[in-house]
Amino acid sequence: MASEIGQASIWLSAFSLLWAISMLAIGLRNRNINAIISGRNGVVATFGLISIAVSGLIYGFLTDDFSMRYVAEGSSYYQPVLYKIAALWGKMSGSLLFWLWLIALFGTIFVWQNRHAKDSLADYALIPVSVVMLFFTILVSGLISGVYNPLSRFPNGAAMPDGAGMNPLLQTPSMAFHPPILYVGFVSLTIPFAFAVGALMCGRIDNDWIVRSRRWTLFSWLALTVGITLGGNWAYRELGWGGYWAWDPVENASLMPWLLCTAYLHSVMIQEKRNMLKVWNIILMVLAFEFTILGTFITRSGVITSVHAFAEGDIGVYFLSFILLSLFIITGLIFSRWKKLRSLNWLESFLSKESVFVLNNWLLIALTLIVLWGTLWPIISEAVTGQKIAVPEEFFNKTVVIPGLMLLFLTGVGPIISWRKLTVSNLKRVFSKPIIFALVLLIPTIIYLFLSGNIVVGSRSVYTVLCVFFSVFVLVAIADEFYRGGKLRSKRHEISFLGGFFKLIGRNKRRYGGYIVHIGIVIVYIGIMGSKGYFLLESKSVTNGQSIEIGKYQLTLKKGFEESHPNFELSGAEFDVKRNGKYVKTMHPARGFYSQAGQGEQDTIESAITHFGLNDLYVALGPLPQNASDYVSRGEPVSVQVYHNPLISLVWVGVTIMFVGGGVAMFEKHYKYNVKLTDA
Amino acid sequence: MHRFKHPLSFWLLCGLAVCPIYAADQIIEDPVIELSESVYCPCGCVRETIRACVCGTAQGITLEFQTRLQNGETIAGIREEYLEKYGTQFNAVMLAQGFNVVAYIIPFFILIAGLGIVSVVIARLKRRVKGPAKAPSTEVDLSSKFNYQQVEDELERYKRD
Repeated sequence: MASEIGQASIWLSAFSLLWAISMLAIGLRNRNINAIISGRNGVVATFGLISIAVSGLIYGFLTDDFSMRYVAEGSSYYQPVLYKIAALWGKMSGSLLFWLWLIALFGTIFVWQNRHAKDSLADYALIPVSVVMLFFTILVSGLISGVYNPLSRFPNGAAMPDGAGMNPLLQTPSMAFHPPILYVGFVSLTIPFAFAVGALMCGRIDNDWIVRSRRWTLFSWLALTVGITLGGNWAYRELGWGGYWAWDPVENASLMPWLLCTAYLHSVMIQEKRNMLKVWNIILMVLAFEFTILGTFITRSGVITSVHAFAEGDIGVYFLSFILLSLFIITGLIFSRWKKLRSLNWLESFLSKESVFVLNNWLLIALTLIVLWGTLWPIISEAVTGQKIAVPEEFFNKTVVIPGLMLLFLTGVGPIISWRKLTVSNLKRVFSKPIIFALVLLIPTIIYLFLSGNIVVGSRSVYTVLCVFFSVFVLVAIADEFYRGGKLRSKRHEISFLGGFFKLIGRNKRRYGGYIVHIGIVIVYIGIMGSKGYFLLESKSVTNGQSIEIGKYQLTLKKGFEESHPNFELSGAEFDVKRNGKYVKTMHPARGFYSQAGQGEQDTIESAITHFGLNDLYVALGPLPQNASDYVSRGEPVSVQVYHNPLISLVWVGVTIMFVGGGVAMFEKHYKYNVKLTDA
Repeated sequence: MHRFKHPLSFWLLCGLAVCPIYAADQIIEDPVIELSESVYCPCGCVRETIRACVCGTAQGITLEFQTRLQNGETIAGIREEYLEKYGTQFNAVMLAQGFNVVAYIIPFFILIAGLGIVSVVIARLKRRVKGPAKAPSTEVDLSSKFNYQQVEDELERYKRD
């Protein structure tokens, strides 16, 4: 019954959305408030209907209703409840339904937020929101080929005795949270996008849409940041190759909207403060949204092979058509409003905050295009040469490092350079200290590189020196900003420095939250520099009592072990770890065995990770039988891979700081608006 | 030439020129490592080199590489045979040769062309200042006035400092 009600809800939601779009269009055209309210209610009703459908599917998972095709393909009796719920987004049609539910949820919040709005911008914006919802409703309705309705049953009342179960690689806590958080980031970008399109539609292209969508944009950015990091963390723990980022197409697909969103968050400040770059901001927001759809196209269409290709299907053409059609319409809208989009102010100097923000935008866009280029290169290459290729990590590492380092430098310049014009006194006052500190700290870096023999390895040492110099420059520049501001506040209010410091942040959460984000970014850069540039890898087959050495660590195989879990069995090996000859830790890398109906026996890599300060020792095992203790005691060889990842913890620490900073910036109060209705 | 008068562009271009992008990253001395890092594992994992993959297939292939290298075969020869057997998509090294040159050139073209466009945009935005002042638009809303006031205050503060 849940299946039938759910399917009916999806169908009804399509009608509800058509109603909402028509009523909003009629209401806005004829200035009929009743029609507009009816349109808003249509969006809210859609949320209710899609919630019923999602509840029906979750009910199917929880009751093991294997007559439902999607449940049978993504779950099994033995799957823990958390993963039964996570199976909702584990495959394609369910993930599209979840996506639709999120847009409906955000659309409803949007209607509620703007219920007392004195102008019609929000109602105009509700039209693109509804159109995007309609697109996803059609996708999950079962009407088009390539995607079936996730609530549909097998034909002729058939049912499977047990489900095929979720892909074992996905049965980890981080995978239960990573996709939905990433989806939240993707989907919430629909709201600022809708504001941009709404502003174009009604012709009110002032700063209003930017201010009203700011919190949404920051929210999306934060969710994308957390979602991407959780994905990296999952890869690090589950895939057994000791890394967190491999420039996989799907990783790239999530990074590109993040880069564009970051560019937008910077360029928007120029529009707010100087009334410039209006067209550019609209284009950036539209691109950020379109790249979320493009990401889905890359993930779901199967045009590019990826480790994330868990949910492929033949729906790429629909996504591509949607992207092209929406871009065509928005381009038309931009041209129709061209006169209103012209800048009202001009740059006074090349050396100003405005110019730095423009440069920052250029670098972020360049990075996006480079990542896109590398992601699509296998298709281009195959089309031209007829040979299938895979773009290695090395290509991306080589091509993004220069713009990445330039961006790092601007992360420090942006906050300290003055608006309008950089004067000589400003230059001396704010730049001298960070530059001197950075130069002084370069000396130990160069000495270290020289002593460790790393100075001879070419580009790596050049990049290390630049990264250290820029990182120190940025950290000192921002610390100085906080120090001077905090000191001034503490003097003015006659309170402690710490009190002044918090007052400073509280007075301008957006600005200082942003600076905290910049500190986080620098820390991530240092983490990437260490873990990508200076990691060590040792592979060896060892028998009981034999050791493997990596850097100053020595790992000795002691014994095998087995462990039983509700949905899998663990079979692993125990290693004693010595550092400089002294025992420090025992590590337990293993293989997980998932025996589930329909999937046969699948094993996964369950790496063991130990933190030594900011560095990690990472151990992954090669193939091992299920009776590891017996196998090892017989003196059979165990294949081991050990990674030493320096400074890797800084990546996670840096992202946490970014999250805190983003959270602080999000709580900046809205400016009060009392604008007259100037709609076309 | 005018563009090079722009100090930031000049500085950034110098930065580009200084960074040795094609410099060798690491000198790999072990031929087995070099070989096993140059091809992807065919076990079903995606984009993991023979060295990085921990599956049994990778283990077997590494042993095979070791034996063949000990028998005097060359890295290039073994690689070629491997790619013939499994397909070119298992090549983990994308040298800047043949059509791949385009792949490597375009990112730098994007960077340089982007810099050119940005320089032109900044120059145009700046040049307008020299022109006759335009009448203020009626579209400046309250928020931008408010923000403008903030900028003015900030400038004042800097002057006082």
